[in-house]
Amino acid sequence: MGKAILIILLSSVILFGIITLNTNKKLEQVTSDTVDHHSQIRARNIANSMIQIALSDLANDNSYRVTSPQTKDLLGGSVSYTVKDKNFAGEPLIQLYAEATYFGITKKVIAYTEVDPASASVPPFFSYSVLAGDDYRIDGANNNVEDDVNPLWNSNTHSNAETELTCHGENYLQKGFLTYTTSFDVDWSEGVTISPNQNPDGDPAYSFAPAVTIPDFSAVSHKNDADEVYESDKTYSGTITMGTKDNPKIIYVGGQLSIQGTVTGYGVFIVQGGIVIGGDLLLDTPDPTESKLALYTSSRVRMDYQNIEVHAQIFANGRVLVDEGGIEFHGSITSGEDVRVRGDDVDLYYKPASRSLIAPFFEVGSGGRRLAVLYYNEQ
Amino acid sequence: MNSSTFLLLAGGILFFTNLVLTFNKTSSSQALVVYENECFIYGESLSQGLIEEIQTRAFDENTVSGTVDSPEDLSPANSMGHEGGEDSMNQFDDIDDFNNYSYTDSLSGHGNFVLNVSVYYINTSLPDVISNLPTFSKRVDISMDNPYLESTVIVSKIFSY
Repeated sequence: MGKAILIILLSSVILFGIITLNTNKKLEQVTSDTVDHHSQIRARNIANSMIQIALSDLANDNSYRVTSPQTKDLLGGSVSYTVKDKNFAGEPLIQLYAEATYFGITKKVIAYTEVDPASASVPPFFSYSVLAGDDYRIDGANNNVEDDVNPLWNSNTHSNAETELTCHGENYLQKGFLTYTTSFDVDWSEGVTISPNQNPDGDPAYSFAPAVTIPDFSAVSHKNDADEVYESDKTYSGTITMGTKDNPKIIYVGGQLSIQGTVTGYGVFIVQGGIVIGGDLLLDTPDPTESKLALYTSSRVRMDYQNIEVHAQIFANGRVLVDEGGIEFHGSITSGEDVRVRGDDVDLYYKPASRSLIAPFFEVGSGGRRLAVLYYNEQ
Repeated sequence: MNSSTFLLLAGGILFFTNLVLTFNKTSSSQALVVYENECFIYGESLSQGLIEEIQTRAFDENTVSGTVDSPEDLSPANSMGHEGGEDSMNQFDDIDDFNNYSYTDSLSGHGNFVLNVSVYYINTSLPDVISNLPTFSKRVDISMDNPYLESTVIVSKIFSY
C-alpha cells in the first residue's frame, strides 16, 4: 500500500513537472515573440524616423552628406546612418541608409532621393540621354553617347525592350549607364565601351532595369496653350525667334513640321504630325546647363540629313530615327516607341532637359523644398 | 492500515493537493501572461496602424496644397490640432490634426483599447527634445491603454518635411 502511494505520488510529480515545464516553455516562447514583435515595430519606426530627419537635413542643404556611418540615440533605441551619392538604376541619386537597433532587433531602411531638388521636378522619362519605350538600336560605326561638355553628367540610356548595338566592327562609346528591360544584344569584340562618368560605387555599367513609364503626348490637347497656331504642315528655316526661360514661346503645328535654322530664346514646338529635321538646328547662345528648345510630337521624329548639328530635347510618341551619318545631337531623346540610329559617326551629346519646357505639358514635381523618395526598401 | 501508512497516505494527499493548487495557480498566471501578450500585440498593432494612417497626411496645414520654405511658415507650436470643419479623422488633412485625437477599439474578451495621440515639434538636431517653435520635424506619440495591461504602451515616430 505504502509503495503504491509513493509510486502514484512520484508519477504525479513527474507528470505535473513535465506539463509545467512544457507550459513554461510555450509561455516563454509567446513572451519572446511579443518582445520580438514590439522590437521589430520600434526598430522599424526608428529607422524610418532617421530617414525622415536625414531627408529634412538634405532639403535644408543639398550638399549634406554623411559618408561614414554616424550613430545617434533615437526613440529609445539607436540608429546608424549614412547619406551618400550613389547610382541606382542608372540614375545619379542620393542614398539614405539607416540601420536601427532596438532590444537586439535590427531593421534597415534604404531610400533614394534626387541629387538636386530642381532636377527632381524633371520627370524620370526626361532624365535620360536616350529613352526608348520599345527597342534602342545603334546600327553604325563609331557612334558615341556622351556628355555635352560636363563630365558630372552621365549619358544614360534605357530601353523598355531590347538594346542592340551593331557597330560593324568599329567602335561605340557611351559615357553613362546602359539599362534595358528585356535584353542587351552586343558584340563586345566590336570595340564597345560603356563607362559612366560618375560611378562612385562601382555599379555595373550595363544592367537590367524595370521599364520606365512614358506618357502619351497629345499636341492637339495643348493647342490652346500655344502662342502661335498652324493647323497644317509648317516649314521653318533661318532665324526662329522664341521666348524666355520663364515664358517660353509655344508653337502648335497641326500637320508635319520641317525645321532647320537658328533658334533664339526658349521655346517649344508641339506637333500633331511628324517632325523632320533636315538641316542644322542651332541655338544662337546655348545654355550650358540645359536645353533651350523642345520638340514634342504625337507622332515621329526623323533627323534626315547627314553631317548636321541639332540642339533640342525631343519627346515623341512614335519612333525617333537618326537616319544619316555624321549627325551631332545635343540634348535628350525620349520616344514612346523605338529609337534607331542608322549611320556612322553619330554623336549624341547629353544635355539635361529644361523643366520650364516640360512643365506646361507634363506632370512635374512641386519644385518645393520637399524631396521625393524615388526608391524605398525595408529589410 | 497501520499508522505509518495512514500518515504516508495523508501526507501524500496533502502533497498532491498542494501540487494541484500550485499547478492551477501557475496555469492561471500563465493564461494571464498569454492574455496580456495578446492585448499587447493587438494594441500595439492598432497604434502602428494609426501611425501608418497619419503618415498619409500632409506635414502641415500650410503644405496641404502648397510648399513652405521656412519653419516660420508652419503652424505655430501652440496650435496643434485639427482645424474647424475637420470633425472626423477622415477629414484630417495634416499630421498635427491628430494632436489630442482619441480612438477606442475593442476586441472580444480583451476589453477596450484606448489610443491617445499627441503631436509636437522636436528639435531636429536633438530629436528627443520638444521644441516650442515650429521646426521641420514633428514627433507623433500614440499611447495605448488596456485594462489587462499594467502600463501604457507608447509607439512613436518622427515625420519631417
